[in-house]
Amino acid sequence: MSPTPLYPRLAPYLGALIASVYVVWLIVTMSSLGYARDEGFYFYAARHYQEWFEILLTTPRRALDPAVLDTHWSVNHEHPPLMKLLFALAHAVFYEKLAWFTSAGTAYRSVGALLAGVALATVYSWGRSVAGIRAGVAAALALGLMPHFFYHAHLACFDVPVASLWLLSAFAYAQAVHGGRPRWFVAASLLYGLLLSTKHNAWLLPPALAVHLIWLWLSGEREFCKRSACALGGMLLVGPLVFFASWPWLWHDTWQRLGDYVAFHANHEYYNMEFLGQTYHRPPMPRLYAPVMTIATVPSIVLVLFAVGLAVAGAALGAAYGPRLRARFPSNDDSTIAPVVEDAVTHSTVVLWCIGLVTSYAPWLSTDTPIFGGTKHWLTAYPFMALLAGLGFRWTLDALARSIAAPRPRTLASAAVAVVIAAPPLVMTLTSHPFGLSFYAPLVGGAPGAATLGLNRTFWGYTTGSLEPAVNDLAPPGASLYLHDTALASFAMFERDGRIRPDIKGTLDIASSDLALYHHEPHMRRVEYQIWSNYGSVSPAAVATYQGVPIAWLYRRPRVR
Amino acid sequence: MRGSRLWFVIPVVALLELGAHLWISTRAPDPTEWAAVAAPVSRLAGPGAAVVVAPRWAEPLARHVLGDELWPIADLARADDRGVRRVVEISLFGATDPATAAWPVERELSEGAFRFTSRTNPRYEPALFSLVEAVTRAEPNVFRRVEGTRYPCTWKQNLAPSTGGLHGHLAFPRERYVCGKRLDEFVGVTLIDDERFEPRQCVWVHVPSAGEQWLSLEDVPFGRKLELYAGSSYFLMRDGTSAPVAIGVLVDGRPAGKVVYRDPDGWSRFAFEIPKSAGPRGRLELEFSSQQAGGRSLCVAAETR
Repeated sequence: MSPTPLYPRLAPYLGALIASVYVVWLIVTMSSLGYARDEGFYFYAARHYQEWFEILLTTPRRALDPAVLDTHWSVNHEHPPLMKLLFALAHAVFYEKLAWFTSAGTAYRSVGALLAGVALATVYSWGRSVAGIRAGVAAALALGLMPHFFYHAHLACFDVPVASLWLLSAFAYAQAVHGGRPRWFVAASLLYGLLLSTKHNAWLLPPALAVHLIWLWLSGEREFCKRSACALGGMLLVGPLVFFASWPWLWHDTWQRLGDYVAFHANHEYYNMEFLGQTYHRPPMPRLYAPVMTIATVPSIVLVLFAVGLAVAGAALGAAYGPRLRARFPSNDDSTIAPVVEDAVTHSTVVLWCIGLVTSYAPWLSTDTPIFGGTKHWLTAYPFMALLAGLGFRWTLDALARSIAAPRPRTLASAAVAVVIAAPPLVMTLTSHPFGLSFYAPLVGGAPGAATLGLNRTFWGYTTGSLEPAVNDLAPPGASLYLHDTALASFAMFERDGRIRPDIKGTLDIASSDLALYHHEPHMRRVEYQIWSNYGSVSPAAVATYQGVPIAWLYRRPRVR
Repeated sequence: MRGSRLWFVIPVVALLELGAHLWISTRAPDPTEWAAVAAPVSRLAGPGAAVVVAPRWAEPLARHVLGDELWPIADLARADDRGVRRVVEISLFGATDPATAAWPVERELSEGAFRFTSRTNPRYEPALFSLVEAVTRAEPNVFRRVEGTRYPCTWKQNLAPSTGGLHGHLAFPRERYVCGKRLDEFVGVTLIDDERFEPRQCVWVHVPSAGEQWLSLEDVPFGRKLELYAGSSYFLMRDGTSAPVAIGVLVDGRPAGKVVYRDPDGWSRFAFEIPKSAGPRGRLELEFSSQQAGGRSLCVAAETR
């Protein structure tokens, strides 16, 4: 379909502009967010991988020695290497060489921020190609202004990168299928390799594309069907080669190690997670977890737009492909479906979005799938949800336009409605920082409502960042700080960045500590009881709250008061 | 699409969500308001009063401002509510503590964002004796008995305390009866997380695999009954793979009953009638045994009423 005449000259650059603003926003807010538990492990791995590359540059033969390979690549080998390699590269270039960042942690984290920007730009571009600029902008904002996405986009972790590469791979695949240009077949194949090298969510993409291929075949789109088979074949052929080439850990004992990698994730340990007042640590996990947590943490206005977009897409597809449904949507209807989702390409694209969304949630239909990571597990669904929300936004403005005849009031009303719709996600995202994982939508009463319902308040120990000032103020000289859920390597980054006084040392031993952090999760309370028992005090010296709800707190051993 | 005139619902939803978010973000009491909580609580709390907070999740903020004097560990981690004469409830957002909501209201006052309510416990039964307090004062005679031979445990007052942290054992106190070479082979006061992850202050008893662990107390005020509570760290023991523990109670040397504790039961209460033949005070003995290879631990509290 042709783009709407709004800002046509700006249109090709708008995605890059939105992405740039978002990346800058992420970068400037990074120093106020504490380092999460897993980030510490990835910093450590990135340093090891960087050291291996230094050996490779100086003594290539030695670098390829299996013992040397294993020394450096056995670190964190349960996850593929691409992001850790990029973390190392960003650190070496942005921090060590160019000194663009004064914080090593921010340099490592910049990779996630950049990939979040890539996701927003891709969502904009894809949304625009289907339903115009306004849908593209709305989709990009819908994604970027999800508070949990915003939180994860700050981290040197894999969840936003995998969501971004999932989207990008699907986008390249769609371009290959719908346009047929060879470069998109190549791009899709290479991107899938990078996706495989990012996180194991990548395993779900080929089944999703296979479902799309079947749909194309059933819908009679023979040319698209052939291209889909070619693209998918290329991805399955080239992707694993890229994956193998990117991961020196697999360069010997390949099958054994590949088997171990798959087995690790297929039989992942069940960590604890609170849901509706119950702590789950073994199957059966609640099937309602993913839908309830999505509803509870995604701004409701985005969910409403998504529902409208889904209805618009569903109705259009039904009208196009279901004779029975077609009868219910006569051609003289004043429908807005036709302008939004009208041709074979857009039908195919919208179906792909729906498949991408459903596939990302599919693992949580099984009660055996762990839930310990909260919303980050299905972050790959959110770009597709945002794209459908973009369709919903487009429908809203079209419907508004039909109800106001005069052009000027119509434009003003459209602008006002757009601002009103964008305001809640923007305000919620702004105010969710630096407590991203503690954010809950007003639909469940925000953080207080979620705490009353028994939904997880925080995990990963990143809220140490919110207690930084209290730690620095209250710690006696040379104090020892019990870190609780913050990994030692994560705390080391606080020290390296100068966020914690240099004389304060982190420890994992309560008994030898002068101060103790506690990050609240019900199953962690036994740690708090150890602090009570050992310190002889139940009174925290400082409490970090979000919307009045205690998230993490700090104890000080009474004898140093 | 039919119903396209319903577009206005979408900005209305947005406005409602924005308004609700702003209201939620600003309605919680600020630190200054919380700091003012101590004065009314002190006014309402008398001897034997406990503090409760509604909603429960606000409790750390109350502990922060009240301090250990107004809210001691023994109150927070009590075995149950019967030893509590009255509670002072700190309530915000109109919430009520479900466990004490039915207790008769004594006084109520509102200050700032808070409502303070003192309630009397209709089932108040003061304890005549507390095992936790007795062990804190090193009163029991603690020993193991293996094939008829007694092996005394030694009371140590200045041992290195030990904590297991994130995945390890409970807090091992500085003052404890040492009963074996292993670090966990002791009898002493600690805190466990019960099946709802709530705190329970109790006496850690390591039960050997061979023989029995004994705690013997003299001149115990008996009353009508002995109430024994037993539990283990739910986080550590929730898979319930350890062998059960048999707990025997002897009053003045005569068996008063025997119960079996199993980990999946959680924090459990067992009641024993004090024999009529017993005097007002006398000897109380607790005997613990288990078939668990390598022994196992258990945490107990006991009160007479």
